[in-house]
Amino acid sequence: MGGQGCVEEYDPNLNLEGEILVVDASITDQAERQFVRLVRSLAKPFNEFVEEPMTGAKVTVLVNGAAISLRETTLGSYELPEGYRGRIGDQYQLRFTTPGGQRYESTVETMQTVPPLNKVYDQFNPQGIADAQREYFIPTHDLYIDTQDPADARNFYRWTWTLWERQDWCHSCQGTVLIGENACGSNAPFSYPNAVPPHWYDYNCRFKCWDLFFSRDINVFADRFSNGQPIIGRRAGQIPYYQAQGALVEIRQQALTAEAYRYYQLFQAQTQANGGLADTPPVPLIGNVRNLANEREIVVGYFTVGAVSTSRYWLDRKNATGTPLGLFQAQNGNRAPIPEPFVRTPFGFRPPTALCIPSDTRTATQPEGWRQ
Amino acid sequence: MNRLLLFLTALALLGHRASAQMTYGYTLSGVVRDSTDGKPLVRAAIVVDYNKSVTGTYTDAEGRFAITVTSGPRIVVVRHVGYVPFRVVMNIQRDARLDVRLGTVSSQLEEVVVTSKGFDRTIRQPLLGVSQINIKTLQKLPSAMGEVDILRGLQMLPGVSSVGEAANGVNIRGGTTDQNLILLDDMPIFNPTHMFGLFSAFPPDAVSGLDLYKGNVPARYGGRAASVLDIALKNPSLEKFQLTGGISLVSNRLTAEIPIVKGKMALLVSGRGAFNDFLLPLASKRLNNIKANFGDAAAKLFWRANDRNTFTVSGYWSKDFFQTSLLGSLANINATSTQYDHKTLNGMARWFLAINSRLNLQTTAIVASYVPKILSPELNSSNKVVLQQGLLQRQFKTNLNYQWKDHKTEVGVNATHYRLNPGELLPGSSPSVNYQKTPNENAVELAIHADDEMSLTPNLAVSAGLRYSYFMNLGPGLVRRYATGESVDEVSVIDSVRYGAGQVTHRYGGFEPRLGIRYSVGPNASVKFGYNLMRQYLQVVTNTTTPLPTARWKTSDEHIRPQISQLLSAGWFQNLNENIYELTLEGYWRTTQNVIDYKPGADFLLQPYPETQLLQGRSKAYGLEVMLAKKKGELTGWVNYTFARTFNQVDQGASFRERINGGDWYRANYDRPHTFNASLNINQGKHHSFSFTFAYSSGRPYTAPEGYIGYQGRIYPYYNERNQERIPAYHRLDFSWNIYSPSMKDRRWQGHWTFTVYNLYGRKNAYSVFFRTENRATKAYQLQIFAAPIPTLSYNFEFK
Repeated sequence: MGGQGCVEEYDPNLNLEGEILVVDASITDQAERQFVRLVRSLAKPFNEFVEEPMTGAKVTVLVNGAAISLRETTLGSYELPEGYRGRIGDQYQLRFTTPGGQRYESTVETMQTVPPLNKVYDQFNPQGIADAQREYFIPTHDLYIDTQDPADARNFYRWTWTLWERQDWCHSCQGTVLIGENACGSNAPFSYPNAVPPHWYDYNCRFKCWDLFFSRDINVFADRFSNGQPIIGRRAGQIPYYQAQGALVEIRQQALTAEAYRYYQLFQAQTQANGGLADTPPVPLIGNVRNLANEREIVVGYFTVGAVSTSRYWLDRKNATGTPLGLFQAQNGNRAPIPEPFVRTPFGFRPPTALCIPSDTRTATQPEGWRQ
Repeated sequence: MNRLLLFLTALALLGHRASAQMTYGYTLSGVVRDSTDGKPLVRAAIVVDYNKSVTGTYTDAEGRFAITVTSGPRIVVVRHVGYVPFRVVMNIQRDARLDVRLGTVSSQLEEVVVTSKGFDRTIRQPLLGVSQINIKTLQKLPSAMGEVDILRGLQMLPGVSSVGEAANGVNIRGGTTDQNLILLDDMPIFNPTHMFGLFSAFPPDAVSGLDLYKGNVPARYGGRAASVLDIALKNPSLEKFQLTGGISLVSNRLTAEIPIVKGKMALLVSGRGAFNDFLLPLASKRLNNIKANFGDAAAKLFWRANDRNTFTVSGYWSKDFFQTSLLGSLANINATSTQYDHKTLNGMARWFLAINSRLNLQTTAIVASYVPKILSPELNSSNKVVLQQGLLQRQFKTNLNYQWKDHKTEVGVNATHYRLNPGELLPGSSPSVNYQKTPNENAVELAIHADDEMSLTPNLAVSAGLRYSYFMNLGPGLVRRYATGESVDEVSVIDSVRYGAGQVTHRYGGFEPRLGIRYSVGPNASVKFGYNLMRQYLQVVTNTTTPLPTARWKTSDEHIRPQISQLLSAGWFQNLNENIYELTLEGYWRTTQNVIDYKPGADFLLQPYPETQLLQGRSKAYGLEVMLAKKKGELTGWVNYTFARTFNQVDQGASFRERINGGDWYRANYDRPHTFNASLNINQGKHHSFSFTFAYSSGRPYTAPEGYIGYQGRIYPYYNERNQERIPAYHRLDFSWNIYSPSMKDRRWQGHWTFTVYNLYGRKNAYSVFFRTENRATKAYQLQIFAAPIPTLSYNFEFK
């Protein structure tokens, strides 16, 4: 009795078709990349997901009515000139023309001011992240923030975070060995691939290396019940407890407009907070970008304009209990790292160490605020 | 379980001629006759049951039989087609004689009481779509976790459905849950369930029975658009102290009937409490982390002052506390969890005056209060932020009834005052939250009505009623005006008008005709026709699949028009085989104006102008219901099939936010085309009864994605049309076994056990299908409520 979980995966057997334009665009007052990303999402049978970056579009942002052209940097990604930062009180409008000549524009968005983050603190949560069945839990450190809501205006917030974790393992080879600093290959007779299936060898980093993680959840808030009051104990993120050593988190608090808040709130409600006894039936997520020639076309995404305040927090993890899974294990489907055995070859000792190759999710530069 | 199997096997064998031959023992002989005329019954079966084997014989042409049996206690059963079987336990020590008189099944009283007032009420009465259910019938239905459940029992009837096992109410003939007027001894019930729909909120031992009006509704009822569920509390015994009670997995119950002045005044007190939430994870893992307690109580004081005057005072109380991860938290309050707490407190006083043998007057005063709360405990603090709502209904009504020679007439007046607190945010000692209050709503509903039931010819009877209802929304309040032709929102406000206390801000009113016609086609069959118009001025506004107990109630006002529903129904009613069977066939067509829907992303919480969040449209529902009931005999029960559809249409303007599915008709959340129910009850004499129920219905509609999109590093589902897919079909078999102990028959204390298995074959019925974005990807899931067989043993007792 009651042995079964009460949430099960379900095959809805849907026959999907059509395509949707997705606009992911953001302007902040920070010295950072200000970008517009245009993608066509093509609907395919369940779980097959195809997106096509829209290249060759003519993209401009009107700042207080004056047009600034954006340059396509990677496929489908358009950027404002380097070093451009938004300014509080300025008005922004996104306009673009597709290669096919369709014209789109967003509503005019005014950059709202944002209060600073007064305090960041954490609590260890042994049942932090649950799967939908609520059978497996990943312990987390829940990050809380305090801030002071301004009394003179309606304010809307969004929190996101970036996490730096120390990474000890910089490269893995399957059925091969590490050749040089960052390539897998064959190196017989000096060394041989792991004979034990699934034939992995993993290599330590030569120098310090950090992996970056980003918040995925949409986390928004309106001051409608607490205008002008301190906002206390708002959970701004849940950091998975994968390794015992400390980590660095940057929390971003972004101001939203009322409409942007409504958009993200609805997005959150029907994709993250559902599955309860009384869900709200989901509705189309129509953002603030429209096709000038076709009012009925649904464009997903919100051209988000808002000032940002940030705070870096050293998560020492001293309050954690239990043994963490291990960062490497979490990233590699629970597999423990397997170092290549130590041998001496005519060219020196093996195994070699690997380089920390920078990417969107990895850096060899020590982040500001890192301790240890 | 082994004993159970044994009984079932014995049951199967009893009907057949047993072939075992006895080679030793004593002779049991006798004559079997008809109880009324004494004529011998030919080929009646005599079955003797002993120690797992069965033997038997038949009577001869003179009704005589003789059978050889071994010594010892034996169960002897005598049965004949069309007669009530006879059972006896005999201790055979020598040759024995047994003369039996069997009564016919058709002369027996009805067992299954879906209709209880007179054997042919269904075909004689001019009303159709009326079901009367005795509480005994409900008590025999297998129940989830041993709780006798009125709403779950009702769903075994045609035309009554719900969105699923955790639905907070039932849908009757295409109506929403708030379109049912639920009365408990005339006191309105605004939240009929405990634990978010898992259990009904009526103390089962205090209820005597209920009338469900899903077709014709008498003109004395008003205020809701779809149906009336009139539940009566038991009258306490004026003569004898009685105590009944029980213990089940979920709750403990106790009911006392206390004569205060013998023959004149008595009190009924009944209570139920459920504090066993630690047991819930046994039923489902998903119920882990749930904190849930509930209780309800009812009391009724009855005083017969003299032959002409009686007074009744009733009260009802209900309370729930609930904390679960299955319900969302309050947006924009920073809390560590979310707790729900709701309370009902109702009272009623009635004076019944028999002016003479034909004329009587009934005057009733009612107060009903419902207060739901959402509690949000704050981080590192003992403070809880409370969002409180409140609904207070005060009502006065008086009816005059006159019984003519061949018809009866009722006239009455009714006045109801509503006071709604739509939301009040109480910060307590919170440093973050500000006190907020949405202005109270005040309204008055007045009605007069007249009903007449008459036989025009021996074959033709008519029930004609007319109600006039008049509704006034009252100040104080600020009523906005919006630009005509524009979407009602913050932008289109052009003006606002302030009304003082008691000033009428808006009025609605109209006639509500009710008509029922019955024409008898022979002594055992009739055709019926019905028409109803009902107006509803108080409704739930919600955007969830089933309203939460905390859903907001809203009176009609200048912007929210009352719902008006018209129902046409017709039926064929047939009694078969000397009233042992009853066949009914009913069809209906219902249209409703001004049904309430909501804009995408609507938020009603502490919203002083809910019209900016709401849309109104229309609804149509039609269906065909077939039911065959066997009302007498050892095996009683019913089977029914319903075909029913419900569609809504919302097209208030051209913009996407003002129409649903492009303004086309779309399926209601509870649109389930095919439903089949069966309920069987097998009475095994004084010792046992078995019940089986089976329920099947098409899955309800849900909104499935039409595609997937990548946005800000994750893959999300993309939705467009509402309710275009269906969740899997629902079906379930339940079983219950009542074990009585006849040896205690003459004692004051009598107990019986009920063993129930809900969802016998462990069907994992989906309550909902949802798409959750986790990490980067989106997965589809189904949420199941009772996904495994749930066996329960409960004990019930009676002390007289």
